Amino acid sequence: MTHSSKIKSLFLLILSALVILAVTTTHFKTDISAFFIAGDNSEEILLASEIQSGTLSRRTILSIGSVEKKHPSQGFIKQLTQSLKAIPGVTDVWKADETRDMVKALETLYLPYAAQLYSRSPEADLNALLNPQGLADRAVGLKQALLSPQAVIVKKVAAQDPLLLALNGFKSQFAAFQATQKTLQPYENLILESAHSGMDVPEQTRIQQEIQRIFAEQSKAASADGLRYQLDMTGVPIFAAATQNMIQADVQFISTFSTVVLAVLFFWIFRSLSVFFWVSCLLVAVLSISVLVTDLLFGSIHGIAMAIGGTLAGICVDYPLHALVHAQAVESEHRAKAIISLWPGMLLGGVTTLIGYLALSFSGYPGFQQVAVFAATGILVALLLTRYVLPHLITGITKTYDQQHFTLIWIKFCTRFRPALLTIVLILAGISAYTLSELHWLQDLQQLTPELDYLKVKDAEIRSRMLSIEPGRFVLVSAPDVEAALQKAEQVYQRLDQVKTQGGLGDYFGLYPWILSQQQQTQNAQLLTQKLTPPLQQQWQKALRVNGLSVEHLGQWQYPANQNLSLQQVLKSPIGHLLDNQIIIKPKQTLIIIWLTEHQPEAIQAALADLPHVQYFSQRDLLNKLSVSYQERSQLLLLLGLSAILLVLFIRYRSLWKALETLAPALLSMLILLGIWALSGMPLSFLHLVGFLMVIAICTDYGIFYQENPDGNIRLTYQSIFVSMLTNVGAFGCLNFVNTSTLKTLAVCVMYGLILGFLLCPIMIKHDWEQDRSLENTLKKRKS
Amino acid sequence: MRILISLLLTLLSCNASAKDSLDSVMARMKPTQAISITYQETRTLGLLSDTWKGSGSFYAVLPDIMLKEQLTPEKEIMGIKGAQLYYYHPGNDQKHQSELEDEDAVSFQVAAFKGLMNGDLAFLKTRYALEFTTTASGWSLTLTPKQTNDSETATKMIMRGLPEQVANKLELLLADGDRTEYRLTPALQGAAVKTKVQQLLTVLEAR
Repeated sequence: MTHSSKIKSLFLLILSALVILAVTTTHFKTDISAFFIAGDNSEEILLASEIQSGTLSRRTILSIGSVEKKHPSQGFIKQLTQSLKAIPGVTDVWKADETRDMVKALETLYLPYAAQLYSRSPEADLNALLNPQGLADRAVGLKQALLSPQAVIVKKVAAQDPLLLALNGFKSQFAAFQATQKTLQPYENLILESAHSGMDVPEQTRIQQEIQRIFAEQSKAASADGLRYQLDMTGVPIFAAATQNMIQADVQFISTFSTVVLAVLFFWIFRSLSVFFWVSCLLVAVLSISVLVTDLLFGSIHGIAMAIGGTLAGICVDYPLHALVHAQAVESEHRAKAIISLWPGMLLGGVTTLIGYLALSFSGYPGFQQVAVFAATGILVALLLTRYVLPHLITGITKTYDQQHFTLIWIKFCTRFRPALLTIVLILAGISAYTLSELHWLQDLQQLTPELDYLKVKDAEIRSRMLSIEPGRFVLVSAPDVEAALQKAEQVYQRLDQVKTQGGLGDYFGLYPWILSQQQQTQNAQLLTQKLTPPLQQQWQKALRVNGLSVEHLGQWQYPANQNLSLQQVLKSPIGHLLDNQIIIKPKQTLIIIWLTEHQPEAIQAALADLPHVQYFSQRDLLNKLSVSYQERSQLLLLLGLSAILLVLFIRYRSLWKALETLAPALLSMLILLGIWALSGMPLSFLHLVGFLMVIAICTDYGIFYQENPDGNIRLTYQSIFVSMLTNVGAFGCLNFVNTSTLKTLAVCVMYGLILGFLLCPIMIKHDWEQDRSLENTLKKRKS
Repeated sequence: MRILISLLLTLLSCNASAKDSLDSVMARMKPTQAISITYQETRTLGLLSDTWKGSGSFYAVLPDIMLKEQLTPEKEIMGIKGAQLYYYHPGNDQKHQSELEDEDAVSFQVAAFKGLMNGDLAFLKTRYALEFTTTASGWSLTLTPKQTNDSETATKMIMRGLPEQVANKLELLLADGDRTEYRLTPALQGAAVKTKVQQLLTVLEAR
């Protein structure tokens, strides 16, 4: 076995091990929010993490309606609920407008704590109640309640709490639920909570399939009732599954389609499948190592980082291709030497590309830190493999490269008409620069996934059937512990009450009446004990007599004031699930979420402005604010990255002009593309920035290769650039056929940028024909 | 609850023969058209020092509409339509709507009335212990829920009627000793009742 054969075998062995390791050990994530959301402060970071994997993420909303627009039968809903609860991994299922648990909780949990929880403004409320008129009114109300349909619960409460203090806080809760039930709606909403995170797509997909199966079976059986039931679902698990399925389908398509396209291109260019095989092996090695390193450093790798990083293959393939074209032009024994001669240029290209990606990692998008690590690893590995492994892989391959005449024609054309072409390019660049002010940025991240619009529409439709809470907007209260957070929330309730009175807010849902801070509970109990005096008790007994109520059973006030209700008691009770979407407890931080109905954001923000660690939070606004801040940072970093690349080129060439000349194809192709974008009126997103960065990275390599022209044969050099441009455009062109619009955006940017950059090289970089062997070679050929 | 009772009475307002039996009473239970019946209500509650008295009318339209319009001491309307329970107190402008749950006290009674109205003895026997007795002075049917997880649902309903007479009394007994009694007098039936029921439902269902 020859030395090269041994190296080939060893390489294939190591490659197989790498692929197996990457496939079996890597943890993939697909949640789009995990890629984009980070947050600027600890509250936002904790909340982002909660949205991604907390209780909120584990809930699916099931909306059951009927084709006949009639309210579903309660028997059907009950049976369905029981069956859904039996699905493995489902922890609970309940009706979204459930009030029965509230009533039960009132009886079993809250009655002994009436003295602690009767009010958030005890002084005012007790003053209104504890006077002759107030007590008389309460007695009238008590009698009415005892004779009403609510008599069952009122009897139980009144026996322990004759003043019905325990019911005080719950009035608004019942009213809110009542508001949604004023007319009989043709649907029923269920909440299904799973033990698995909403981002655990395999588990969530299994649960969703089970839900559909059970629903189909039971609705078929129930069709005898005369109703044809329909099921709609929404929630984080639904979006996560849809996103992952879409990305998976795209990845499968791209990997198959682009492989075929590249194989055809390679065969056309090199007339050799073994070249395609070895270059593919190099790329697989580059991607496997990049995945492993990223996974090692971050604990997982995001699907989008993988997809964007995967396009890095387009850059990494440049090095072996560039080497191959030059190596294939000489006999087998001279190939290693030919590749070594290219090393400085390739290294320089690698460094400039690295600068671009490192700049991107500071843009703020959490996912781009992964992309940067992925890219840096990939570039480094691609360079080293091209330099040290590729020469051994191609030693046995015959010289089969078919030269493309188009490249020489274009070089000659550009040389002949360079002044005119330069003028045209500069005019175009000038126009583009002028139109840059017309560029506008995509402000809403949700627009990045129009293919999921059908889910967003369904989500809005289902949520409109529930309580009129605005799901993405709330007040966020943060404190080091539960007690401090509850106290702060109580301050917020007072402010929100004022905004309500002023008409800036419809209603809000905090943790009251379910729980008050220990401080407030103690204060309530103490004040009540002070105010319940014997003369007032006599007044109360008189009021009872007047209304025909039993003094014997209702005339004594016995409100125990020695013990408060704790949050843990509430969370462990059957109504715990009503609260756990409103409080996040971590060892050093507690967040309370106060949901809002229709409101004026400015009024809320103004009312809470002076409360520290209290913020009005809009999920969409946060995302869009982050998006704007990322974009601004990305633009700055792109400029800084370009400056750094220019500096590296200057150091290499010791000439600012030459450095500028090398960078010009990349810079101008990006500028002209931006101009086209501005004139088209299409919004620009961070993905375009990624695309532009790739265009700069790849086209700078073109510029460097063209400028360096290592073996003094510009025709060969330009042909190597042509080959890499063609394979890149082929690979990115495949992205045009996927479902994910974000990938299509990327494809369009990069494809046109690369073609432009390639065409601009002979125009922008002046070539010294005196020292070139191309002409000489051409003449030789003609003579022969 | 009281609505249901009154409905039951309404249904029972058909004539009973001297040889009344459970089967024969059940067979005659189902009304053929919308009916109304006036009532006098007396409640004896542990938390009230005096008995409470009220009066008004019950209305029933098969299969699932039952209404109670209380006229004294103050106006109040309660109704059941399907699985929905409505309540309106014009004096306080109080209006509620809720869904009947299988486990609560009202649902137990609604189920009983529906069973009686539809003559579904088999269903009634699965959920209630039925005790039918006849004496020289009249007949009596007692329904006691078989399963209950709540003392409030341990309601006993007793319907009484004179021999060969319509049912004229309904009693509702709760486990805690509270008791409600209705004395019933048949009133109207037919289209006029249907129109009245529609008017009351419109009031109850209005936002």
